[in-house]
Amino acid sequence: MAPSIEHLVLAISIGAFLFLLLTSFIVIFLLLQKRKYQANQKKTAAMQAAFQQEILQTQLEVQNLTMQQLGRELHDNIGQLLSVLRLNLNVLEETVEDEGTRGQIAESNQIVEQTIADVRALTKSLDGDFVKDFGFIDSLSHELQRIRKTRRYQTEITTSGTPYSLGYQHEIVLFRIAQEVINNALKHAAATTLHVSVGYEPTNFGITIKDNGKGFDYEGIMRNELSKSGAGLRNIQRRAELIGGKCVVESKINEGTTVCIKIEHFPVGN
Amino acid sequence: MAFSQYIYLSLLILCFFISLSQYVKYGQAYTYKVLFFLLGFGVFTEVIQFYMQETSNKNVGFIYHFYNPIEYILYAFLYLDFYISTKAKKTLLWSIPIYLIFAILGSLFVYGILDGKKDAHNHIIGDPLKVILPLYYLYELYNDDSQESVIILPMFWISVGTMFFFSLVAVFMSIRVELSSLDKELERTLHFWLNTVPNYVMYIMYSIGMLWHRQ
Repeated sequence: MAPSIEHLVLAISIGAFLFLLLTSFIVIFLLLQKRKYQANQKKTAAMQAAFQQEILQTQLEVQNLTMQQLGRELHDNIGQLLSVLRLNLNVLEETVEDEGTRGQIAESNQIVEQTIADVRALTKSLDGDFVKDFGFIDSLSHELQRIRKTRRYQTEITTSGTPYSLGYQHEIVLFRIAQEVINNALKHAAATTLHVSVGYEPTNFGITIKDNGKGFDYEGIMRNELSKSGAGLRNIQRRAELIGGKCVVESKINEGTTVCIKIEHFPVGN
Repeated sequence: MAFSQYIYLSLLILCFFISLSQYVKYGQAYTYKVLFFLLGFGVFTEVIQFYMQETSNKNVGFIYHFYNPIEYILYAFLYLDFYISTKAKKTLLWSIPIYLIFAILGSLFVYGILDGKKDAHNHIIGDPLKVILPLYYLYELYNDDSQESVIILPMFWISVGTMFFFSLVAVFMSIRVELSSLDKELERTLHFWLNTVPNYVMYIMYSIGMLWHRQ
């Protein structure tokens, strides 16, 4: 080959190679950039979720702490004062000779006694350690018993399966959620009957709280982002998600509400 | 003037008007301002070159001794606004006087500005620099995690067009030189593919980039 033809072939080869190289570069660049963006999006979403969970966790901790403090104050101050009041009434009852007055004092004494019992029950309900010490089922039963004692509501709790511990963190969150759902049913739905069923399946834990209240338009409330009830329900759902659970709410106007929370359970050793 | 050259000139003028309209549309944005000057200067130079070629039939290669340094300065200012790294910006600014020194010395003492010869230093120094500018921009674009899609960015298309043109044109020019010594007729036949087509590609890319602009 003459030198010029050699040069020409070389130049054409370089040109073709360069062209292919540039085209490949642009295609690879676009693919890599897209992949990187998607990975980054996933990372951002995970970070946001973790951040949300952290906020929720902090909220729960603060709520728990506040409730515990409130419970302690009730027990230590109000409870003590009521006990002193009862002692005084007892002394007074013994010193007074008039039968009518004595009867009134005894009645007052009974009311104080009832109040002390209520304050104790409320203290236990507010105290997160109660869940730690006595377990989820006993704490929930105690909560329902406290409500039943008012004689304005009927409550029932049923359990199925062999109870196991979900761990304090999970149980305290579940207990607080149950408390909120029950409180909503009594306060907003004007329910008179509450039925709680707890299911301990080997790989699943579930709790269902059903009331006979006036119900609500669940879809409508959840659609309205600014609605207060919607925010409350979303908060319950977020808290359930925080412990790896799923919260399903079913409600129809005048047909009551059912809140069901399901959590996957991984037995120790698996 | 060949038909393909008319198309080339029309494409360049069209591109210039797109840059003008985008300059007005996007409130005198810096990118379009620089592109407006760059393409306007390109139109001005090419029209003079074609006119002189038609009327005097002389070698008008000396025009590029002026055109190429100014073109590089405008490209440098175009990318200056897009580089994120301060170090890169400083380097870019320093490259302007360095390139100018090489260009002036080359034109005055090596290639002879009045001999009608083309300024080879443009292809030796200018072309690699004009490839590095968009390449670095793409590198920074790749590292920008917030960028959803690069194809909606005018500068992506402009960079791809610039990179393709300046990396290919140097090789194509050498093919033309080799061809002209071998077969003049073949060189004239392939001129369209080796010189005009890369220009078409570049200005089409510029037009796509500017018209594709999404705010």
